[in-house]
Amino acid sequence: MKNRGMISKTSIGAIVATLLLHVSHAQSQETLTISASGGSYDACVKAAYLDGWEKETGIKVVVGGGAWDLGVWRAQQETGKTEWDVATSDPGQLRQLVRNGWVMPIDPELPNKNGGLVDFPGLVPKFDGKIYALPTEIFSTVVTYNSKAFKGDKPKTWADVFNAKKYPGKRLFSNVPVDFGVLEVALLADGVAPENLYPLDIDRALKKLDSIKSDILWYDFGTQQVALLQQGDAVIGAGWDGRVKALQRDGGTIEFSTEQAIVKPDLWILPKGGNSELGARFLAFIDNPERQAKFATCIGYAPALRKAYDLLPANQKFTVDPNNLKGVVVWNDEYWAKNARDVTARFNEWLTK
Amino acid sequence: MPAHRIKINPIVLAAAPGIALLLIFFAIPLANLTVRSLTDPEFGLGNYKAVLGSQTYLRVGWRTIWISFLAMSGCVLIGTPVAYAIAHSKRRALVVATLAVLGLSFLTSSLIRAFAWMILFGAQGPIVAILNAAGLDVHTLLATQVAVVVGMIHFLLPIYALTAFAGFRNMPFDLVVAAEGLGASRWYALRTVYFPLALPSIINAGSLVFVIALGFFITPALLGGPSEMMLGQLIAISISKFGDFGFAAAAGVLLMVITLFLLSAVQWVSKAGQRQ
Repeated sequence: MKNRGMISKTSIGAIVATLLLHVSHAQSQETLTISASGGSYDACVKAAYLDGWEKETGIKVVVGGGAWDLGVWRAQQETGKTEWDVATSDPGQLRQLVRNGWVMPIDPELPNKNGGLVDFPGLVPKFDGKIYALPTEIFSTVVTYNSKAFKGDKPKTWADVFNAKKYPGKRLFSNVPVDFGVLEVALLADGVAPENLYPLDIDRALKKLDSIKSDILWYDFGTQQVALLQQGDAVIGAGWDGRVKALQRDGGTIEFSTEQAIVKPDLWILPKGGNSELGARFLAFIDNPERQAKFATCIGYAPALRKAYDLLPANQKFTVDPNNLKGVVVWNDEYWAKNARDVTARFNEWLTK
Repeated sequence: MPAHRIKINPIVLAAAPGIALLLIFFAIPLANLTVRSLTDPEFGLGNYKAVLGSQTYLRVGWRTIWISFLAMSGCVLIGTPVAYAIAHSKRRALVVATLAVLGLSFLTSSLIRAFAWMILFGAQGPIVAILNAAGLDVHTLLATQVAVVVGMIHFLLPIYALTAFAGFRNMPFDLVVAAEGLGASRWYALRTVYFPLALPSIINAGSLVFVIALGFFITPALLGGPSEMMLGQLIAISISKFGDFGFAAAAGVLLMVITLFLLSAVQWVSKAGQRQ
């Protein structure tokens, strides 16, 4: 997910939102509750999707708590109090949700409508012939650095991130490997080809990380990602292109390289126990080239609908062109869904040593 | 004389709402948590075995206790003189001002305080600038034990000082005056007369902030690195990434049991000390 920030606030937000939801359900007619994703993402969702939806359908949208926390999902599903009618998700979490039976299948024809989706591997995973998510855009984890830190050559590859001689200073990584790909990054830096990346060679990745361990600054929350680079506590690391672009718009000096990007789609799903009928209507509403083009322009992530590309401003460029995936690393959700627990345990053992 | 009615001790009556509240918001969830730790995903001690069998959890568990101990020690060292001053000072303005500062900082959210420290300890912060001006080569103080412990003390100090103050206020300061009248120096009187009597208040306030420190999550997450990782962070990951309620519950119950054990040991030692 894009925003792992404020975990503690998530649960509080979820509880408050659930309470409010019950009040509002009791009082008024239909509303649509969607999950929050935080920051610029939510602002773009509102501008590209929600405003138009409210105008067209007259159904008010409530933005609830974040849906990235599996603990919140489990608490809601066990108590039968689903907060969201639609939620955002990522491919790894989707597999866990499907496995637990916490999401509803979506219209299998939806991804083929409106000109269909870009040709991106694993964009619409099938589970027993059913699909459970609508991908709307593709975002990247990229080599990110503070441009003020390096006078000469700018860093381009993951190997540069691990080259502390040429690019001295602290390296910034998240301490949660399942979301942020630090192990993938280490292996790519060590020369593993993208097609041979999975299954991850954990020993090799940790050995590579050992080579710069004292130079790494680890962060816990997505909000720290660009903040610590901008503040100068770290000079280089792994970041999300959308966050970097948002910071650049605010006058930050953070830049990123488009080489060796690790890409993942953003997904929209229908949580079990929500108003799936209304949720499905919303999915059909956002599966629309004009709206996705508007969203993509706002957030800077490449849209999933092929036709959306014809509607973009001429100067609009994305980190990754989904029609040209050469040198791009596709994050393997299947691998992570199977191994996240073990890999995280091994990683934490190494991290806290 | 009115007829005899069933006598209810008014203290029990006054305590009833509080007890009910504790029962609803603490006892029942705690029982629930314990049951979870033994039954989720299946009945047995599997979660406890998993926690105790994990080098990571043991390491981080001891680290949690150690960092909490450091934070508590800092509170005792800094907070005790403050509590003493506001309990016995004759200057009202000073007392009111100190209480106001403690109260106000107590009311500021822990998240905001941690973010403030993140900037203060960061590469562009004043502390790094001062250290560098003094000739030390420091780039950032984030991800250091100093940052985490200072951030924790900042949060815990008002709690410590106000709790200790409540105890100190009721202490007979006359005894110190009397000791001085008999020829003791102020320092000697404090050390031999005041301090032994104040010790239970110090221990109570110290135990309180120690227990609060054990559950810290935001402060070590924002100011610390892996070497300062606390149990709360690991528990949060196991819940938010894997929905492992049983495992997280077991880790929580174990931390609670160890805390209770440590606290009873402290209480026992302090009682034994007073009897001597």
